[in-house]
Amino acid sequence: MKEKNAAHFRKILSKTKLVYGLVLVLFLLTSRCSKDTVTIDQPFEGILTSNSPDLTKRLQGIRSKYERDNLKDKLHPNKTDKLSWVPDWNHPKIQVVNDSTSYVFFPLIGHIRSEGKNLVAKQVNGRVYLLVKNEQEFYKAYYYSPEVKSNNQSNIETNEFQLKGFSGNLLLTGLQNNGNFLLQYVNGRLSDSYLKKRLSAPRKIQSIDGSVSYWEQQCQTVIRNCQYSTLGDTHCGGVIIYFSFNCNWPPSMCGYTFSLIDYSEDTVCENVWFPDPPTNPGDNPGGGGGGGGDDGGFTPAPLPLLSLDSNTRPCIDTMMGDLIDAAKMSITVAKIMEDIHGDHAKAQNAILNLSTNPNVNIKIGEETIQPVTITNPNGTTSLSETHGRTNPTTGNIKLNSLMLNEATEVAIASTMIHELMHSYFVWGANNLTGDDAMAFSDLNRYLFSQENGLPHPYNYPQLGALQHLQMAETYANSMTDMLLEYVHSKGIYSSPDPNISLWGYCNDIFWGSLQQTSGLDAPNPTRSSSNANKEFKNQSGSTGRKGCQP
Amino acid sequence: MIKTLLLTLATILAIIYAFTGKNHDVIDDRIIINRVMDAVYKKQSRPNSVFVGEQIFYSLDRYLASKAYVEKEDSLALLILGDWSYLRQKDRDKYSKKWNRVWLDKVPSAKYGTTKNADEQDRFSPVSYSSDGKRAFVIYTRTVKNVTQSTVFFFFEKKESIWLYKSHFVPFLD
Repeated sequence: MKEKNAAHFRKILSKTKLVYGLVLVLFLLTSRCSKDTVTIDQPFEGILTSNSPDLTKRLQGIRSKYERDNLKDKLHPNKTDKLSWVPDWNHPKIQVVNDSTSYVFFPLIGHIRSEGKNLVAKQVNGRVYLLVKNEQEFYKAYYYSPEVKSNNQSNIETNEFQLKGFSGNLLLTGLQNNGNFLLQYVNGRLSDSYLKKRLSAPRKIQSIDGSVSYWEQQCQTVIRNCQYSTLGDTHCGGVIIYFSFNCNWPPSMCGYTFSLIDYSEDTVCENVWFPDPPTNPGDNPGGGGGGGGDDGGFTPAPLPLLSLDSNTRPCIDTMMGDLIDAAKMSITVAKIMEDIHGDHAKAQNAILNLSTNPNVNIKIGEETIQPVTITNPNGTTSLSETHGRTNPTTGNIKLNSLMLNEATEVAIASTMIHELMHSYFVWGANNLTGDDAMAFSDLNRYLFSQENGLPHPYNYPQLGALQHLQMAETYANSMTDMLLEYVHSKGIYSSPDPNISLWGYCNDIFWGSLQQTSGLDAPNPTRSSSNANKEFKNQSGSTGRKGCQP
Repeated sequence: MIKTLLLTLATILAIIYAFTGKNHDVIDDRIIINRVMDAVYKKQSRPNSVFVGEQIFYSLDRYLASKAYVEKEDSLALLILGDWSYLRQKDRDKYSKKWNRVWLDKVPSAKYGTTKNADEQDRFSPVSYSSDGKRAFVIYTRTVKNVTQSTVFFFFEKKESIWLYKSHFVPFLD
């Protein structure tokens, strides 16, 4: 009986084990299936770019979150009710950093109510944006230049603050957790000194085990970020919001005095690394430079190689191929186009159609162009040296053999980028049709009549000056990006000028001649001339690499 | 005595010929330069005077040395190879460093004296005429702080004693 009971018990136990086993297997199966189902039900959206198919929906999602969380209250000034900041939802600009982080910049528009009217204020001495990181984190982004002098001067600047080639600071104030981050930019890109903090951060993590505050912070509570306004139309400069990071009260203007309308009492930590910081200031992604591998949502389309003239040193051909490839020239050109006319598809199509056009027959060669010394009417002399020339009709390029013999590879590459820009744009505008031609023509907007919008003929008397003015104003920084990519591909990573970054050094090489031919001043005229001269003469203190001998 | 008279007469005739010829060219120069300035400035505020100097011919030399016209890249090449081929035959080894200031004709509707940039200057080469006097060529440059911003080749033809604009070309983008 005992044995019978035991056998019966083992039978029951065995059945119970079987049932439990089956339940366990069923549970595992269902739990695994349910996880798969979740994955299927929530499709991976990917990083937000200007080319995302669901861009409109996701931008709307950002707006909904902003409104749902009442974040507009965080932007409300603390000294007046007359000013309200409203995001310009219709003009977002998107940056993608390191292929993993997206930023959307919405310009903040200052509305001031005065005498029953709603006036839009000019932003002077600074500029603010609503910045959204990865569609989740909301920041007030405040760009300002360090104030080197007090505001005792009688006249204040009344022009809108521009971010092209911005040098200064970006104060990011979190709207959800009130954290503050301070970033530095030089010539439209993150400064080298700030980038070094990224390299130091991991070392700090190792040295301070378990510490949340992994970076040696220098924090202080200060009253900063003041905003002043006339709170009404001055009739000599409009209604103005004047930013002063150090809270220097601006002098009166046209008899109108400024009132303090906002300030912040913040803990500012100047040495905190902000992960994957935005590379370009504000809504100026193209001209600001420093794409850092961001393709802007464009599909690369190798630009057509130029055919080599006979009796031209073969290294020109090699360099041209390397340049177009390493510098991702098609992406940069497309970005410049989009920056000007704001039409992503038009820019992409123009580049694709130039890339695949079977009729492109542009030539590149070399010839000797002797330097000329001119005695000016005032008795001074001017030495004119030419690095290369482009035919304004065909786009054919001739590089100066004297320059090729003497200059460093970096200087030659800069000349080729300069002439290739002339060449592709001339060819595109003259030979493509419809929207494609318009994309190239838009790029040269100075070459259009200001009176009737019609294109000037290619023999327009001011053509040379206007092309260089356009180059200097619109895409000098983008050309610098191309050169930087090229020199990186050649293993050059440090600037020969220890006072500036390699990007700044490359920028100087372009401005060395642009400041003469465009009539515009370089960011640092003396330094640009010096650095450019060193490269073109292969002097000591240059990169020193000769790259293209016969 | 007769010899002295003949010599004096010859001298006077030579002077008259030289002066009349010179005066004729100077008048033509002024007409052509004024025409160019009309084309360049249109409704903009314009200067009262320009500088004329031979050194501007360096840019023509540069174009000719490039042999771009041999490849017949554009219409400019066709003119240099065609009716204005006399430009290729000039011997220009050395140019005078002298500049002449030429005062422009007053244009009633134009504004004067307030150019955009005080550092800007308008400079011309001397007008170069064909041997039959029916064609003319002049180079225009605009400089800022003595650096050339634009170089343009202008071509003119004379018909029924009137100088007519033919065409103009930007020879190269540097």
